[in-house]
Amino acid sequence: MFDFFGIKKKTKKTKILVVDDEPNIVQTLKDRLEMNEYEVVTAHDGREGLQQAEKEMPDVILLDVIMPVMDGHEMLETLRRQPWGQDISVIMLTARSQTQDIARANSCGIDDYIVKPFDLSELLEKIESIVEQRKALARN
Amino acid sequence: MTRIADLIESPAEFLEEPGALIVNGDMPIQQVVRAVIDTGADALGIALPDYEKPVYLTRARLLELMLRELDNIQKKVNELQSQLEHQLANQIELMEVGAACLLEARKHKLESAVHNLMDGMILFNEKGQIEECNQVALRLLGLPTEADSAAVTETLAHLGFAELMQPGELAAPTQGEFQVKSGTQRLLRVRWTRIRDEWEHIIGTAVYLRDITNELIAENTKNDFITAISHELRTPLTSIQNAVSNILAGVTGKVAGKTREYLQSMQQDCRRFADLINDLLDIAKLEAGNMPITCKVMDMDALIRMTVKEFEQEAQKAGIRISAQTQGTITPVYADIKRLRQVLVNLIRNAIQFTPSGGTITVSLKTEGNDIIACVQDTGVGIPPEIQKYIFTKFYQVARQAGPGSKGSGLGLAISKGIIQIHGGSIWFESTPSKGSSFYFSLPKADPQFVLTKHLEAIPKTKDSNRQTAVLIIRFESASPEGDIRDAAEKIIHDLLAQSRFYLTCSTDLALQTGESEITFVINESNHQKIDNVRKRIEKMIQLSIKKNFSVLPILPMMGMAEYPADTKNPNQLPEIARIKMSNRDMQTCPGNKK
Repeated sequence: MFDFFGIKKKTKKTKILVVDDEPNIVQTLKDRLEMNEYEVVTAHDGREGLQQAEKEMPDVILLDVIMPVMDGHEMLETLRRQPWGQDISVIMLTARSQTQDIARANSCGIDDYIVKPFDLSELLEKIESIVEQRKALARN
Repeated sequence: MTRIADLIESPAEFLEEPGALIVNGDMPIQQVVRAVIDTGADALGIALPDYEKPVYLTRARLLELMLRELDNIQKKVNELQSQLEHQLANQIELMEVGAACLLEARKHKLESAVHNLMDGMILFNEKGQIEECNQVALRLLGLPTEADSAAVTETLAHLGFAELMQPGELAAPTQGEFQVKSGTQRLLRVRWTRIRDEWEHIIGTAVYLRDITNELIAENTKNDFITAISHELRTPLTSIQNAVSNILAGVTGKVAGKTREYLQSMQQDCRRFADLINDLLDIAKLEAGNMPITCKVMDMDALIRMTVKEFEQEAQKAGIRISAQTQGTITPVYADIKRLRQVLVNLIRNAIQFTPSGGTITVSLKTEGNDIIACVQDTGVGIPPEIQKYIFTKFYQVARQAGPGSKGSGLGLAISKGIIQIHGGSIWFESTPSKGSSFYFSLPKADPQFVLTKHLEAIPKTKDSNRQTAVLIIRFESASPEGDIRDAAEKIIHDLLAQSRFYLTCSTDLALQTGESEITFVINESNHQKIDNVRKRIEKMIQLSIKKNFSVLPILPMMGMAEYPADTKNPNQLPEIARIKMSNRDMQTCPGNKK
């Protein structure tokens, strides 16, 4: 019901990288985000996520925690060590609501997190709010 | 009382004395002596019942007899005394023997208790020598049952307990966890304490050892299980929920009629399912005593107004009027905002469920002493007295019936109670059938200054990790006589506090109100640049907030920031330095003045 945010005219599309090992989740997220005029790139594990991040330089990363090859925490920690990875906003998609998860991610600098299962409209609101802040910062 | 007759042993030897004072043999000696002195008689005649004539005594003889009697009495007294002393000595001896037996028995009991403890226990005397060491302790330390004191001492010293065997005060901490190898790798929790006599002198040391390997395994297994359930159930649910949400949002084209209705009920059921998973996990965590809470200083007033707003639509649909009656001022509590929201949501949901159309729900907040008390009051059906004591029991549901409106897991109140309890508060209710119910919960009010101080105290400990800390203070011109400016300032504070999650991305952030219309942010970050970014973000937030809500208000927020260790080596001075910087700052650079 908050999708009207997405219909606003954008000069340059905001790019979002979705990193999750569940193809169904990646697909549904991609479809919905694209409908809301975002440009979407995807990856299925942390390592692929890092490669995509460096190549595509997204504005926002939606990052799952538990993934094969490289999990979300490791990817986030590696990302934050890269000179190009400092300013990318990250929203953690966690299936756990355990605080230690969130605390660990927080120490690497995440912009927000959402606990699975979530309402897509709620996620879209969070993305919109982060994008708005990024724009405000960029103007400053 | 001795009679005068008792002095006479052989009455025949006494000759008659003329002019003697005659007295009755039964008279007490004292009385006779008095009479002799009073009358001035030289002799005494004592009338004895078995003799015709009295027995005569001269004064000298009387004295002599009396002295002899006194001597006799003295002897008797001495005899009695020695008897008494003997008895006393016997008694004391008896007591001593008894006490010794008792002590022995008690010591034996104590020894057997020490030996039969589930935990290992080692007692040292004041010289650091082992007095007692039970079998469990030997086993836990991986020593054979016949191990001597030296072996135990050596093992303990090896584990790093040498200090315990030295005299003097112990440095903190007084407990720790240690890996030992006794067959397999075990994890021991060891606690130790000095034993003191009534004058606080150290008379020994007690060391308790507990094997927590199994506890740890059980704990890990349970946590793994919870994580697994949580992950395995949530992942497919997420993808179903996303798909349904996408179809309804029109990703696959227009959806109408029955299809739309079906999808909407699917979406509702997905949410119910998700709620149920969350409730089950919450109750499991509460019961295991490890519900994780992340406490921050938060504004209860804002939380209540926000939560009530969320339910306005739902209540309206049910024909119920819901309103928040709060003080409208920041009411800080130190709590987990998500968990408190969960409690409010549970209470409001119940109220809606049990209030017929046309009713009202009022959520109020008041301060009472050091507590805040929140209340969710409804004009609903109330709770029958006979079931009132069960309603906080898990899975208990009041008058559960089929159909819409009874969608709970039966866990809401049990979870709410648990959440309030771990926050150090209490929850209770008042209810009158067919009149309505009021659910209350109380929480300790947070003293922001205290929280800030506590936070600042912790700062030196993070020095080594190259972290920087800053205190950022924003002050709104609340001193202005115009009420609307003050209200506007408070509104901005509310907004900032409510949305702090969005603009503070640092590892430790803390937003609290330290004075009237003054917010303090504590920022703990890895580098200066990031701290500066946070400051810019907050500035931006204020700017946006002013523009959005009060575009024409002449409000002038002031900001001051002090950094540790750049500005001061003493963290406690940070707020003061920030305030000084704030007053020195050129007004032109204040965000509120740009427009």
